[in-house]
Amino acid sequence: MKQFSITHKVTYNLMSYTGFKALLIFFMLTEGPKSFKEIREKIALHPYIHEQISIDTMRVYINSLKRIGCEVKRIKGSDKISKYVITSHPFELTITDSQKNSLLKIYKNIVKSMDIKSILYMNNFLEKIGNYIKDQNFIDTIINYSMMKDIDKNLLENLLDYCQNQRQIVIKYCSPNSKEKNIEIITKGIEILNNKIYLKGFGFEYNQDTIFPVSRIKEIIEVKDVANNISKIKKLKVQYEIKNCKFDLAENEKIITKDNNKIVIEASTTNKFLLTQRLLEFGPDCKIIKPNSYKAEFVELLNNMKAGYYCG
Amino acid sequence: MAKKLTEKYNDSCIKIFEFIKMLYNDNADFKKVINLFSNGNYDGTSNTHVTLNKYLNTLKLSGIKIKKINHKYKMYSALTKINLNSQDLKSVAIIKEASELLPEGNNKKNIEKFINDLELRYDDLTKNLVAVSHNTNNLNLDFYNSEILEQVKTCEKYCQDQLKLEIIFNNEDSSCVNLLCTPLEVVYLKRKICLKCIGSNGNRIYQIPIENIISIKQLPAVSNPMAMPTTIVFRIKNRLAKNYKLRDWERLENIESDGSKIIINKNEDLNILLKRLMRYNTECEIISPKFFKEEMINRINKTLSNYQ
Repeated sequence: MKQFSITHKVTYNLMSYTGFKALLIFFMLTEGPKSFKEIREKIALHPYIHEQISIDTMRVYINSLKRIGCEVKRIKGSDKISKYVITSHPFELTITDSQKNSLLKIYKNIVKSMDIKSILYMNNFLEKIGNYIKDQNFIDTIINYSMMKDIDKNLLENLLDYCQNQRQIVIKYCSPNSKEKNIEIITKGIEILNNKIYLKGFGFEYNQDTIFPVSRIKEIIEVKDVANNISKIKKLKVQYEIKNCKFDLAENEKIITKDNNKIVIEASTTNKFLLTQRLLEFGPDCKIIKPNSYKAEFVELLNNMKAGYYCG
Repeated sequence: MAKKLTEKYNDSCIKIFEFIKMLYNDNADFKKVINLFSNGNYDGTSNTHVTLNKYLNTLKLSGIKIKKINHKYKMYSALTKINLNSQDLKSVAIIKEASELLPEGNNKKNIEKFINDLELRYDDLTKNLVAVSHNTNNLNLDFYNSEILEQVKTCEKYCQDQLKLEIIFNNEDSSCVNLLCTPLEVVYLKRKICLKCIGSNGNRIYQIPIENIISIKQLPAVSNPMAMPTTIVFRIKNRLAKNYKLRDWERLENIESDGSKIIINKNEDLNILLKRLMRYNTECEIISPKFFKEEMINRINKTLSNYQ
């Protein structure tokens, strides 16, 4: 080998020519279909070999590759020339069923603590692995666990880009009530709520902050160059106090006062429905302070909910 | 039908690939390798080691990196290569990080083997990317200190052991709860890791944040694998019924004439479910069991009492 590093000349004493040719043929056939002529030429022109091989020798190599577990196929293309190809071999990446189950367990564990970009990356990676191991079932199971079922991955990637720059876009949305329609929205973010992926933003249909399940967005029709100015749109400001201090402040909220037992928060929103949902979830830990009109509406809603149980 | 392998083949060709197989399986001890190349006749004096050197050179000249460490040959690059980008490598790092939280056992071994097999196959570009990337804290567990991460590992182990537990934990209202239960799994949520278990009394599902656990005692009683969690039945109406996406642990029981849907829910922490159903306000109604319906009414009443 020392001699080789100086002269770059290969001799019979240095390496096994047969072994080298076998590896060369293996590499060629795993790359894609090759005819006998192509293989012969490659071997003849190889700087370490410079040797012509016969079709019989070639067959011996193919038989040897089959013997070690390679699946070698002979195919004829449109040019009617016979070509050899290795479709599978013992050195491919394989994953046992038990390994798949362990990977799925890990995936299930972590998918809820990952942000949407990481989920996308992880899915792409596992999909790549699924393709290497030729197991569509593995890929499907991953997608099912990841909330990405029924979601166009490219569309989601584009939405993430637009959200980063708060771009104003028009989407084709499949509404459960009014079927397909175009909606204009200033994108603000992608969020996971209750195992569903939502596009968050300011919608011009009702002039309010809104969320859309990404699975219902069919396509992005248009991307506007400049976003409308929405700073003058009137927002509902609600102050509420909360007892349990272990909660995440929403981005449209700010803390007014804080002591050991409770926090007073001001939420500013254009979508009363979403705020009400949030405050209902807090239950008895939350008390609305003002405005009185919203407080009265909230109490009425609670009374209606209660009535539903006694009259329903 | 058995494969027809009677055709003429080349012994050198077979040997070199058998050697590669041994390297892939991390089973290339010097003795085994020399045995392969001497057809089992190595007596220490023959020139098989010269033959072996020729084959080692053959592999090296073919671009396969091999080193001998402690009388064993190890392969550092594979026959066929896999190309991963930096995003893929971030995912690999996340899987590695998450597997470190697993207790010793099959799952951990399986993941380690998968990662080893994968890394062995990285192409040069991928290896370069690995060298320059700094994928640390990918799982975003920095909200937990190392003490709690140790607790997570312990909880994973409890789930694996399948013995009953006695857990003392702080409830949301800061009251202390003593629970006899069967551990099910560790659940990783956004900024929260919980131990999911099924109560021995009433088969209620609990998802207890690890940080709220005061103590856990493993009992010498085997978990009941047949324990069925409480079934909750609720009705959703109007717009919600049209929009509702069933969770993995739910099924649609019936669609009523007015479009309302009856949903059967199993396997969800009832406190979490109660909060979720409260969000749906008048568009949702709990049908059974009675105790859960009463919990909802009680929650509504308590919320209302804030305004009296």
